[in-house]
Amino acid sequence: MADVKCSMCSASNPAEAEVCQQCGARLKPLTAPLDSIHPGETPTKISTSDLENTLPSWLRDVRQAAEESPAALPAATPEFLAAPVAPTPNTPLDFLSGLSAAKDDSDEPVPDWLAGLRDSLPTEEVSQSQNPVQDLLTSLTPPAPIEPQPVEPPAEEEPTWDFHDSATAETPDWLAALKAQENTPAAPKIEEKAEMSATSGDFPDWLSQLSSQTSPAATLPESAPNTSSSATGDLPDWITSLRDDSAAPVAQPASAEATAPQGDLPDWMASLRDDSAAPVAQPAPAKVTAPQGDLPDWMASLRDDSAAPVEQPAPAEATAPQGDLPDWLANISPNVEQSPSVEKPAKAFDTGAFAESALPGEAEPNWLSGITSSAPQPAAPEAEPASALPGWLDAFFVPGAEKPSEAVNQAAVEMPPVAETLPAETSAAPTGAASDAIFSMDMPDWLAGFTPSDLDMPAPKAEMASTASTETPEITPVNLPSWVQAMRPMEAVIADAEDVENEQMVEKSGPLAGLRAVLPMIVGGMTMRKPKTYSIKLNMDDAQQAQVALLEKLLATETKAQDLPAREKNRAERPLRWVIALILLLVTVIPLLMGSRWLDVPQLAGADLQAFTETLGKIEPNAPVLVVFDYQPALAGELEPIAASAVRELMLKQARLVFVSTTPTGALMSERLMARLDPQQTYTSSAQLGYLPGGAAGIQVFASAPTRIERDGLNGAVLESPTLAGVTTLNDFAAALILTDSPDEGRLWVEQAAPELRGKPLLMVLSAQAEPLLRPYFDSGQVQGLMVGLNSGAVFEQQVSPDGPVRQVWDAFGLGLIAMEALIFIGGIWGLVSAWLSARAAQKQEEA
Amino acid sequence: MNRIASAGFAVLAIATGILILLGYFINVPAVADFRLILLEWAVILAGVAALVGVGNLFSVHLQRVRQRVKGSTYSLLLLVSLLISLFLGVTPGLEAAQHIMLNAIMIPIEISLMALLAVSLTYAGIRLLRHRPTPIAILFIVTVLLVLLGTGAWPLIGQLSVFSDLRAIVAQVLAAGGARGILIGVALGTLTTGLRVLLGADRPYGGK
Repeated sequence: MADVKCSMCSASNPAEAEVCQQCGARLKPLTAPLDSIHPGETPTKISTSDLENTLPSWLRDVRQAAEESPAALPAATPEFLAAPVAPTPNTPLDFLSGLSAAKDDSDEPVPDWLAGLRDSLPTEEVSQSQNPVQDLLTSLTPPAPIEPQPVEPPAEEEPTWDFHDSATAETPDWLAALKAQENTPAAPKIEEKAEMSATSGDFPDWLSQLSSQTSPAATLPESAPNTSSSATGDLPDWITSLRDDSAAPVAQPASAEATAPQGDLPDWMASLRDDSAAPVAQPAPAKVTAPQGDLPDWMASLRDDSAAPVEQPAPAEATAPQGDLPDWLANISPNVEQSPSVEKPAKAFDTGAFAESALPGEAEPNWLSGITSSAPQPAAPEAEPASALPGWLDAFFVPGAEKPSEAVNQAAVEMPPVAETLPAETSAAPTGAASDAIFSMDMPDWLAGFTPSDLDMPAPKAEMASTASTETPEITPVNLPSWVQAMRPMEAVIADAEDVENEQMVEKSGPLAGLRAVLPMIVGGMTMRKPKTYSIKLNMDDAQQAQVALLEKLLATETKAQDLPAREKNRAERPLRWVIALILLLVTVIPLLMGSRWLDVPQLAGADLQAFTETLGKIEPNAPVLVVFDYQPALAGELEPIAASAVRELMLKQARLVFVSTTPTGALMSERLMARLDPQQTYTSSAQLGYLPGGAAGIQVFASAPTRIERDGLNGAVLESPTLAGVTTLNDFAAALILTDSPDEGRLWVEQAAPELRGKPLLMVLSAQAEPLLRPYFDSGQVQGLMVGLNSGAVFEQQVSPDGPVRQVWDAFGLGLIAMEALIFIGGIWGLVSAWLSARAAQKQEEA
Repeated sequence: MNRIASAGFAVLAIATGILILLGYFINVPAVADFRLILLEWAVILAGVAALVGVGNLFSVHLQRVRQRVKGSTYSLLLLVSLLISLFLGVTPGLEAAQHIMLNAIMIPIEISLMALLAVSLTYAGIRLLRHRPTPIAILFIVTVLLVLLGTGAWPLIGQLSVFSDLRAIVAQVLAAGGARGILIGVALGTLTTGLRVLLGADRPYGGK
């Protein structure tokens, strides 16, 4: 089996081990896990003595020592347990009985503020100090005078604690010892408490004992401090301090109190000590004014509630289980004291009372209500201790309160009867079945019936508030540590806390009946709230803003064109340009003027030119030929001579020339050429179709129906010309001759018109600049022949008609090319040398 | 409403494109006639567009003349020339004047610009190696010299076959290869654009 890990020291132990081998802590609980009570089930009463097993080990040891022999107490048990305990029936829970003992033998340092508290107490009050727990639990007793009644032990079939009867068999011995310790000299008080407990018949047994026990500390033997000092070695400090407080003899001087151990005492425990120092004779001692900075809320309510029963004798040993009590337990005391047992004899702890307590709609928490509902606080002894309280607690003190006795008396006078102050709905307790069903869920049985029975008193609370508002506070707020400020309730720091609480709803039905703010209040579905607006403005510091500005600058420079460096002006540039222009002009003009034939005309024709020549030669005479003039006037010097040779060849064949152009100046260029070839205009087999707009679409339309556009156009009369006789489609032309200087125009004709030729030849006369882009069409067979530039024109001209227009410009063209070659070559060499010299000079300059 | 109109435009454009495309592959007289009508509309629209362009040019330069901005003198000259050309062009019986304008103004000016281009290119070739003596610049200059040497003829020597062959290689192989790549790219681009228009992905006529 797997080992069991100790929850205390994390040591591994065998599975069958009962206690830890390392630290001795119990590994297996002595009691079986409590079964949870499901809704609708009535809680079964179980003897609460079973819960003793859950007590801490040191408490069990104490109890065990108390049970063994009272004689051994001085040696083996703490002195507060060994102290003579009167058979007080009001002994509270046994594990808290140690709080009633007192000790003063600790030399641990005491905080200044705590020491100040003690010093501030009057000697007289210190001498009368009682066990604070006694005072606390005194409040649990009904305030009304109760006639003595014989104590009747509870029925044996009920496994409850009965501390009234010391002879009861179920009462353990140690508890009896505690009772003896709590024995007070006021015998009548014991009887009164016994009577009180008898009236609260429905109380849990142990709680009944709480309400009935009394143990005036004044009756404690003087030997108690001595015994406690000898037995405190095994107890925690805070317990010993409690013992010191609770068991402090009344007759001891205040100096003895000053030596009490206070070093590690928690604040709230320190408050208990101060409470215990309050005079017993005064019904409302300086409990509220004690340092309460760390006091749990429930404890505060207990203390305040205990101060409310003014005229009741302060019972001793009211060491209620303060450490683990919930808030609602704090309401026990006002319930007990404000609801006499005669009015609610049967269900003093009715479970429905919890629901009732929440109904009045109080805006304060339970602990706060417990404080405010208590009587006015004495001012003199609490002024100085209150200075150490946090600010939020200062509000609970009545500024300038009266003396304790007077305040208590006033509170007693102003305290309305419970029946009068209770709201009508609270007085009417719910049915027992319903209330049991409410609190029957997952709650131990001993806690199931341990619910507040009555409500807080709103009327006294209002009176307290009015008193606090009218009187000047004498408590000076002090600066609290941060961790204490962090512990302040939110109601003290949030302005609208009260409003928030007002919005909280009290459940009136169902298992949560009587509880406040358990479920979120939703009125009419989802509460519509305006969404919180968040600022979209970025919070950037200077560094971030600088980075953003830098980024924006970088992005701006990315899209901005860089300025080119200013080119240095060379004085030789302009003369050089003039020199170049002059040279070119001379080498081109002089041959033209002279009509020279210095340069030989090339004789070799390329494949493209050969195909062109052959195709053109195959055109039959008097065949319609489409001639497209798509070159600009700027390139007329190159294209016109070579086009003239080709057109002239067609004219020699008496071909019917049909001119068309996709450029606005094409028609003029065709007329110019024809005027150049036929100055007398004797050639009549030509037709001018003019400008063909639309780009590719126009070419497509013309290729589909060459005469369609002209039919609908202004030049429709040309259709009647004999040149276009028999021409309806593009296929009707014997050939198509494209004269262009633009690769795009030539491409459009090839792509749009060539398919419509349907086998008829497509010839092209091109400028040299258009050759690279149109030669692929010749290579692919879409164009049947090419004549490119003056070079091919010269060759073609030599073949058909020597000494034509190409030959006239051939020398000028050749010499101009030679001049350009020479200039570029010489200028290039000169530029390279200059660059090299410049770089060398710069290098030398750098080296120098 | 706009969406309906946009969809209608798309349907009309796609149908028109498909009909025009079918005319290339299907020899159906009805389709061919309809296709031809649409193409004529396109030609007319292109002519009107050219006229609109001329009108826009006129208005812009007229505005410049009215505002007397810098260079408005040239704008005035353009307007006068345009009006004169228009008058000569549309007026019957003035064809000789048109030829005079062409032969005396247009052709000499444009040819002169081409001559200036020759001078400028020569000067740039001279200055190129001085300002940017890089291998690419050197290669460019060498190529230019080879083409020029292969194009023209030398006095007393004639045309050098070596340079002619080199020029043929440069012009008909290297340059033609690059040009063919350009043409293939243009064809693919045209095909893609046509398909996108036919599929409605591109709507140059409006819409998305």
